[in-house]
Amino acid sequence: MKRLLAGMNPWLPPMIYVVIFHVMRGAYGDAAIFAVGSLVLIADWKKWIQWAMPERPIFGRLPVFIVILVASSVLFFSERGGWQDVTLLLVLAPISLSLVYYRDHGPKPSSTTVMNRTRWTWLTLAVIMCVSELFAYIWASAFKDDKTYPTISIIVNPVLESPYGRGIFLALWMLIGVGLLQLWRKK
Amino acid sequence: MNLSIPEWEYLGVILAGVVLWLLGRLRPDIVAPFGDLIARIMHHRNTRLAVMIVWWWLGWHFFTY
Repeated sequence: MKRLLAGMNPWLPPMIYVVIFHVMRGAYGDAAIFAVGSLVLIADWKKWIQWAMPERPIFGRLPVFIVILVASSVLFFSERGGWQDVTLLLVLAPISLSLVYYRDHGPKPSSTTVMNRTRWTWLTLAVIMCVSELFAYIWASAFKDDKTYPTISIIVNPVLESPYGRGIFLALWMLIGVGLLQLWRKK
Repeated sequence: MNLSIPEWEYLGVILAGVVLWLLGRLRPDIVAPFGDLIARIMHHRNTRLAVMIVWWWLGWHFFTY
């Protein structure tokens, strides 16, 4: 068993748990996405796909802004949930995955006191957000009242119904992705 | 402001996040800059892949439903 699980991505068990959670709440689309995500992690762990590891990609600001502008325009001029939105998101999935698939450079440097403090503080905030969202979802389902117990989706939905809201939200979401990918970070 | 309890909670977390982010920029001796934290989190491919899957799902969830 120990040999079978050797080298497993530590995020795989939480990912599978999320699949089960979405199946239990009847969100089969979300469950399918995380199931595919779990398969990606397994494929990487078991080296099913032989992929030459490139160096971390770094892009200029202009091409990134052009991609964000084009993507925002697609959402601005199309209906929410239309085939254009679906196609855009499906195109972005392999691109974003390929951008994180680069060579690791040695073990992570040891953490400092400041970094430990920062990590735990941000983690606490993230957990508070997730627990608030989870309880809002549970109360809204139990009392059939998503006005008193709105989840983030319920709050954001009216904004996303507007083409301007969709365009701006997509730009924000993509900028978060650019930040996570650190496409502009030289070090 | 007539906000529900979850809305107060979300707002509180967002405001705390902004304060932390600012603190990281102004006083890096107390809180590390957010970019440094992300660089550390994204050091290993394992975490990068998982984070990207969650990020993409958020986009799918908000824009296509």
